[in-house]
Amino acid sequence: MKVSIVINQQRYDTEVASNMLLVDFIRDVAKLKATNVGCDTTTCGACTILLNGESVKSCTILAVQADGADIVTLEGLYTGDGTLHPVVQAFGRSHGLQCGFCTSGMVMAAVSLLSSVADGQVLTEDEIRNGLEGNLCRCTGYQNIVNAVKLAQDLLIAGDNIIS
Amino acid sequence: MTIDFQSKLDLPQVGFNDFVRLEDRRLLTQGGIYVADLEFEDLFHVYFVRSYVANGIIKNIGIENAKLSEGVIAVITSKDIDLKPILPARIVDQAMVRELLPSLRVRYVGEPIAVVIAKSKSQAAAAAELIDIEIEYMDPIIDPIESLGTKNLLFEGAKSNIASQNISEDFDETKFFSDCEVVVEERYIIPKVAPCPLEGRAILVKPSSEELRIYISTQAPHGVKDTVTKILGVKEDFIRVIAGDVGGGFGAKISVYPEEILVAYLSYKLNRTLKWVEGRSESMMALGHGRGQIQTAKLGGTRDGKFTHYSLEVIQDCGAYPLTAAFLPIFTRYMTSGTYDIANVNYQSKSVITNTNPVVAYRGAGRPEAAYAIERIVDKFARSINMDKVELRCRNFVRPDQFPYQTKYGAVYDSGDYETCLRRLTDLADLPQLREQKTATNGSSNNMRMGIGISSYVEITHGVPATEYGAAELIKEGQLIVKCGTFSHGQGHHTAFAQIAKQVTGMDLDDIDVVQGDTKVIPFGVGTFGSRSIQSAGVAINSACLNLIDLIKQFLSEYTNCPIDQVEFKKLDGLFSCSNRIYSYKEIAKLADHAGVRLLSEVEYKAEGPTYPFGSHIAVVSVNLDTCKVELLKIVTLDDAGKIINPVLAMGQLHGGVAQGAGEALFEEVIYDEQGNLLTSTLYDYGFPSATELPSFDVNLMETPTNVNDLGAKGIGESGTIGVIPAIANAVADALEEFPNLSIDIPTTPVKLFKLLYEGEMAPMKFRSYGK
Repeated sequence: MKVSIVINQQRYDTEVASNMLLVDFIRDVAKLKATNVGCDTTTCGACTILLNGESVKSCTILAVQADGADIVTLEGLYTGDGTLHPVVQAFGRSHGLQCGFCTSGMVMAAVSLLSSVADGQVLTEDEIRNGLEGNLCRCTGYQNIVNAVKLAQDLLIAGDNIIS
Repeated sequence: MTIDFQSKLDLPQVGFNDFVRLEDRRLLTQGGIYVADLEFEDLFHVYFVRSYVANGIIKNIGIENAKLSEGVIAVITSKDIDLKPILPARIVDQAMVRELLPSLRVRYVGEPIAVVIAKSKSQAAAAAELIDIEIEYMDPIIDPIESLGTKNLLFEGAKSNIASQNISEDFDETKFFSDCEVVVEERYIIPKVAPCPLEGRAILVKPSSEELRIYISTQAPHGVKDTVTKILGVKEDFIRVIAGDVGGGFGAKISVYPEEILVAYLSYKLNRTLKWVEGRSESMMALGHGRGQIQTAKLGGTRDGKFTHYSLEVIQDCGAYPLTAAFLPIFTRYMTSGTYDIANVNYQSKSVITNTNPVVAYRGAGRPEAAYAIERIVDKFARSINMDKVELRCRNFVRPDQFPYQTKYGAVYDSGDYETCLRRLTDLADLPQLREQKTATNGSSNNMRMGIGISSYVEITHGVPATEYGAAELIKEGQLIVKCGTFSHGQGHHTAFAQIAKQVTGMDLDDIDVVQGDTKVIPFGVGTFGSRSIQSAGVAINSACLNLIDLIKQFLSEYTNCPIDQVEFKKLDGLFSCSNRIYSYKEIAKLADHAGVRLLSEVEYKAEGPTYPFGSHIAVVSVNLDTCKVELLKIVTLDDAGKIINPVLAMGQLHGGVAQGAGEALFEEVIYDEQGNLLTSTLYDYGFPSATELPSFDVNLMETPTNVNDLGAKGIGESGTIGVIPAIANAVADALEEFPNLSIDIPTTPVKLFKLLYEGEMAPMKFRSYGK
C-alpha cells in the first residue's frame, strides 16, 4: 500500500507492506534509529513518538494507519542551530538518562505531556509520574527523569516556549 | 546503506555546557547506536527455535519444510555443528556439560535447539514455525528443594543435582548454639528475578579474511573475544569485538551466551554477515535470571543484645546449567556476617540444578542475599529481646578501630564507620518523628499499618581484582585520548574518566575523549561489572595521566635543552613552562608530532584487593490489611563508597540501584508453573516498576576513603540494591508486627500477603464480608 508520512519535516512517499509497523517504517524506511524497540508488547514505551502532536507508541500502530500523519522523533527535536529543545536540555542537565535506550521514547512522552498542560497550570510530581507511566526505564529509578520534566516545565514557563 | 557504530552525526558542540555527562550530547540528539541499529550489505537474520518442554529427550527435529521456506539459507541443528560442549567450571560436578545445541536432552523452556537463517527477520520467524519438533516429555524439577532430595538426576553421570557446594563437615548446629541465651531462626525465600535491560541481547557478526568482527551488546568485550577465540579455535586477534551503545546489562551481559557463540560460529562457517536481536519474550526466558536463594538464618546471642553465633545455610537455584550461580554463594559467604562483629559464624551452601533458565549475576550478585539474611534476622532478634533496632545494630557493629577487619570467610574490610553512618541516617530520616507517626497511624486505623525498616550493609566490590588497562595519549591535534579496558554501558564513564584525566592534566573536558569497547584499539581489558570500573580502570587512567605529564616534561626538556627539574607544570592552567617560555598542550602535541615522538602512557593496573562500601537505608511502607497492598512511602539512604569522583553520577547509580531493589522487594518475581512454563514472559506479566509505583528517594553520600587505591574510591553500582531490599522487607514485617509468626518473603505482593494473612487455619485474619 502507498503511504505518505512526514517525519521530522521530511516527507516519505513509499509503498509499504500492509502489516508493517510504524516503528519499522521509522527505523527501516526513514532510517531514523533513535526510536527503539524494547518489548514487542506495547509496554515499555521505548518507541514513543509524536503523531500529529500526541505521544504514540509506534510499535502499536501500522505504518498505513499513519498515512498522512506528521511525525516527530527525538532526532526532530534537534535543529543543530545552537539551541536545544527545553526537554532535551532538561534531561541533559538533570542526569535523566543512563544507558539511553528508553531515552528517546521518554523524551517524546515528556514533550507530549508538557504540551498537554493548560496555560498557567503547573504539573505536580504525581502528575508527572502518572504522565510517564507508559514508559519504562531500568537504569535511573525515574527520579532524575521526573526532575528533568520539572526543569523542562520551568524552562518552558520562563522562556514562554511553545513545544510542537 | 551501512550504519555502523561510527556513523555519528557531526554535531555542532553548542548548547551542551550544562549537561551532566559528555555522552548525553549524542544520546539526546541523535540517540544511541545499538546493535539493532546497525545495517550492512548482504545481511542475514538469525532466529532461534527454542524448547517448549522443560525436561525431555529430543526424538526428532524435522527441518525439511523450513529449509524450503522463502528466504531461508540455512537451518541448523546439533548435527550440523562441530563445536565442543561447554565444560563446567572446576568447582562444578564435571558431568554437568552444556552442548551449544542439545543433541538429546533439553533442560528448560527456552533452551535453543535449532537455528534458522534467512534474508529477513520475518522470513526466519516464518520458517521456524515449519520446524517439526518431537520431544519425549519427562517430569521436570522446578523447585530446588525437590531437586536436592530426589534421585531423579538431571544430568546423567552426575553424583547428584548439586552443582557445587560449601559444606563445613564438622558443624554441629545444636552444639554451636548451645551457650546462647537467645536464638532466633527464620527461613527466607529470595525468588529469581529477570534483569530486564531495556535492550535485550543483540549481536551482529561480519566475517572477512582478516578478521571476524563481532558487534555485540555486552558488559565485557574482551571476555567475548577470549571465549569466542577459544571455542572457534582461531588464532589470537582474528576475533575483533566492538561494542557500541549498550542498553543496560545489570550483570546479565557479563558472559557470552550459547546463542551468541552460535551466531559467531555460523557467520564464520557460512561466511555470511549475521544478525540476531532477541525479542522481549525470548529475553525473559533465556537471558540469565538473577538471585534464587532459599536461606535458613539462625542468630544467637545474649539477652542484653550481643550477637555471638550466626549460621547461614543457602540453597542456590542454578537453573538448568551451572553458570554464575555455581559461584554466587561464594560472594554470599564472603559477606555472611555483614557489618557485625560476631565471634562465631558458620556458612554452608549448595548450588542446585533445576529445569529453569540458568541463573547468572544480577546487580549485587550474592551480596544482596547475604545482607538480606542478616538484616532480617537481626530485626527478629531485636523483636525477641524487645530492644531498639538501631541500638541493637550499633551494639554489634564492627568498630572503626577494628579496621582492617578480617572476617572468618576471608574478607578484609578496608575501611568503614558503620555506627556513624546509621546514626547520621536516623537524623536525616528523622526516625523519632517517623516512629511517632507510626504509633499514631497504627493506633487509630482499622486497616492501615505503617512500618519502618532499617538495614545496614557492607558489600564487596571489585571482588576478584584483575589487571585492568588504562592509557592516556596526547595526539597531534592536541586532544587527550583516554583508553580503558572497562566498558561503560550507562554508568557514564566517558564523563567520570574524562574528569579523572582533567583533574590530573588540567585539560578541558571538551578536549578529552574516552575510548572503550573495541578489542583492536584496547589491547586488553576485563569489563564493567561488580562495581569495579572506577577502582580499576579509573585508577589506571589516573596513573597513566600522571605518567603522561612526566613524559611531556621529559620531551620538553630534551626538545628545549632545559634541565628536567626546571620544566614546570601548572595544572590549573594546563600549561608547561621551561626556558622562559610557556607551552600549551596543543603546541606540545604539534612539536611532538614533528619530532616523531609519541606521547602515550599505558598502564596495567592490578588492585591490591577488593574494597568494601557500606551504608544504611531506611524504608517506610504502609500495608492495607484489607487489600494487602504495600505502598512504599519513603526511602532515605546514606551510602559510603569512599572518595566520590562525580557525586551526580554516583547518586544516579544509587537511584537506579534502589529502584531495582525496591522492584525486587515489592513486585518482581520470575514464576514458572509446575511444568516449567514461564508465566512471566512479557513486561506485562513481570513486575517491572514504573514511575508511578516508586516515590522519590532521599539519597545521601558520606565519604570514608580507602587505602586500597590512589583514588581512595570504592564501587557504587550495586550498593543501592543491596541496602534497600532488606530495608523494605523489614518495613513490611514492622508494619505487620502484631503478627510475629508470619513468614514474610519478597516480593511482598498483595497475593502473597493475602495468603499469609487470610488463608489456612493459622491465618491471623478473618476475611470480612462487607454489606451484610
